[in-house]
Amino acid sequence: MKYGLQYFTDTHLTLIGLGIFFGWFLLICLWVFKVVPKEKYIQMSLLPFQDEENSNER
Amino acid sequence: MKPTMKVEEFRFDDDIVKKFVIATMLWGGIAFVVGLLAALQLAHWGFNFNLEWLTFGRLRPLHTNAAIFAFAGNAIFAGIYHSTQRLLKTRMFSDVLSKIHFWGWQLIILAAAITLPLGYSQSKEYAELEWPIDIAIAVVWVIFAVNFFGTLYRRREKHMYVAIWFYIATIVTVAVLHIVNSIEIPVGFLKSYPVYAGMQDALVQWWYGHNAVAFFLTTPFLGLMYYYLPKAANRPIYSYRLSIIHFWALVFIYIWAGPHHLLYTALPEWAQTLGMIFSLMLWAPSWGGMINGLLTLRGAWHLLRTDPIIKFMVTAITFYGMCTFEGPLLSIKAVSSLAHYTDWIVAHVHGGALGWNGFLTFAMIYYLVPKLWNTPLYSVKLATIHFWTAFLGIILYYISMLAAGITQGLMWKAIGEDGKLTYPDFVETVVQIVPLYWVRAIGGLLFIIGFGIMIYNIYKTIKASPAAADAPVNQAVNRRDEVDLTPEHGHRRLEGMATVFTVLTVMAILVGSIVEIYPTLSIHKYIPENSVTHPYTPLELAGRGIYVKEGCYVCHSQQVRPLVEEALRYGAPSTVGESMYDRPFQWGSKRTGPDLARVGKKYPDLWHLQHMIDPRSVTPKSLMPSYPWLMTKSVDFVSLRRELSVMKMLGVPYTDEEVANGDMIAEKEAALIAENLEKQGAPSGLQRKEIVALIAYLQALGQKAKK
Repeated sequence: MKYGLQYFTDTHLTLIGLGIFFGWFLLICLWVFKVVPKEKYIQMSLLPFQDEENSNER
Repeated sequence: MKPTMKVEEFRFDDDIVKKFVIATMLWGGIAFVVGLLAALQLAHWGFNFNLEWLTFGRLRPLHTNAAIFAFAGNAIFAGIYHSTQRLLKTRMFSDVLSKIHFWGWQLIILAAAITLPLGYSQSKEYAELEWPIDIAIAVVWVIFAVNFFGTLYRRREKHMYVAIWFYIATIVTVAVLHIVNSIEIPVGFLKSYPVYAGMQDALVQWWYGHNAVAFFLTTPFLGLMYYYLPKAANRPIYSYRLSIIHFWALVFIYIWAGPHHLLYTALPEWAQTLGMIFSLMLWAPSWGGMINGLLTLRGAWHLLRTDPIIKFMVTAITFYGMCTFEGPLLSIKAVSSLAHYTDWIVAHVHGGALGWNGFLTFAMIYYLVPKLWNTPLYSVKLATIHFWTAFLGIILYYISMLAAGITQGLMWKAIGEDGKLTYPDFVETVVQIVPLYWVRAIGGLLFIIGFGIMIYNIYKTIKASPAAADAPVNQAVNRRDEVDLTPEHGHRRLEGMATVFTVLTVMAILVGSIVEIYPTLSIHKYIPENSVTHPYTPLELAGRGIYVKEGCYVCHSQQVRPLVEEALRYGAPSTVGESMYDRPFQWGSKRTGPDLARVGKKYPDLWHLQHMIDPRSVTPKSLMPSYPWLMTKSVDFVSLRRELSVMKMLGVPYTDEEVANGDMIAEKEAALIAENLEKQGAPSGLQRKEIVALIAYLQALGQKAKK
């Protein structure tokens, strides 16, 4: 294995991957926690219950 | 909303949901019973019945495939088809595609149930099925995807609820995983060689294997949790914001964690470290999801006393939390050095499969059947008895295997003051845990009894249902293209853009995959000429095929870790070069028997013959099945030319002469071994028998390095 690693020159890929990961992840976090009216999220979380309102299903 | 929008009427396709529910119960029963038989085989070898198609090596892949793809798979499809139509307020895109998906998937399972016991296997865990079935899986999965995304396109609800995101991640990621891991070259109707070799094959396989757990047994079930838990508890999910973080963090992180299955192996150190770090990072989103699920029951905890559906769901979510705590723990290298290859991993896996997947599926079935068949559940009391019986079964299973794993791991590691192994004889460490194997079997039996109670309860419920009536009519306005007066921002906007959402999900899983896999694809080029190995001789290659066919990898590893106790027991640690021509790799993941990487030339040929025919004749306390058919079944020498030719095409340095005369070379090798065996007292006339080829392979293990 040590011979393989001796000639392995692509370790920068790990750093690039981690950079992309953290950047993207932080972006999503910021996006999610942007100030959006709470009612919007409540409305979304009630989606599973809408089928009962609009159906004659028992 | 536009003032001109009209209310539209439509019916859901619940017939397909019913089909998948019934298939879930049918295949679940088979998966569990096969699992119990496998558990008994480990407690006593006699349960192998000396029948080749019932031996543990062939039965274990059948059990895992049935549990994952037949039981959990059908459950996922039932839940997805049911909840997707309701969340998107539309019927499935195509009833024909739904039917093709259902029957195609059942045929695939049937093909697996026939081919695996017959020994047609690629020997890659949870990807054992041979190439024609692999192609069928890809086709059926694409049909499912077209049907799902077609439904998404035709939806009447603009916004996609969190459950839909998890379904999208499941569908696209499983497709990528299956296709990349199944790139293989056929050498016969039911035999193939993977294009990857050795360490590359190991990495791709465990990238697949780990993410099969992530994207087949976790993300779809989380989608089901986010839909069915609020429905059962009649209250919305605790935090919608937390569910967004849960989703994206899981999708980003999970894909990187595969190498934690290969700690201390010949996989490059950087990849092992990456796998460990990302596994530890999984703690946060997994527990975020668990907490989100449990807090949904705020104000409804009283239901836990009376409602079996809530009992199953809460226990399932608790097992999810427990397993997602234990998984990262096991990924820490120091813990892995103790736990890997032991029954602790089996305990961990079954905590997830029985506790998380099993209990969530049972909850979903108890919720769905009364609604689909338009009748109340036959007996709430029986459902409660099912819960407690199965729960006790899981507890017995988990604790016994945890104790067995830690016991055996510590015994393997024990070194006396004299610097020698305290338990040098491997079988000593097996005998010690056999009583726990019996306890495990009792746990499994209890789980099956509970399942049987459920089948009876569901049967009686369906039988009491009124005559089939038309599906209920649903009404909804088509909000898909509505122009909202208030522009949307943030994640809410993304939730209305299915294509962009799917593309972002694919990108998330591809980043980790490419970063991990790409560098290792070229690593064999850098191994110096003087440290590579000789390829297997034609007879050894034939013997390797028998080793793969009999599923030896399910009990024996071929990877000596760089740990003191392993060097004392087995010899020098394994290197990248040693397995560079191994297609498929045989590093294994469990040691019910000892590692075999250095077994070559350790015993005479006759010892191997006796050991294979009757293991107790040379190791009295052995649990290994007997393989008497190896003395009577003949090797297919002629097919060796084709196999050698494919190997050469894949880069193994066979000469043209070796490829052209592979069968004759192998027959000469076999004649020499058979003659030697006969001199030692074995019966005559074995030169064409499978046992001779297998002995040739076993004697080559650890002996192929260039001197």
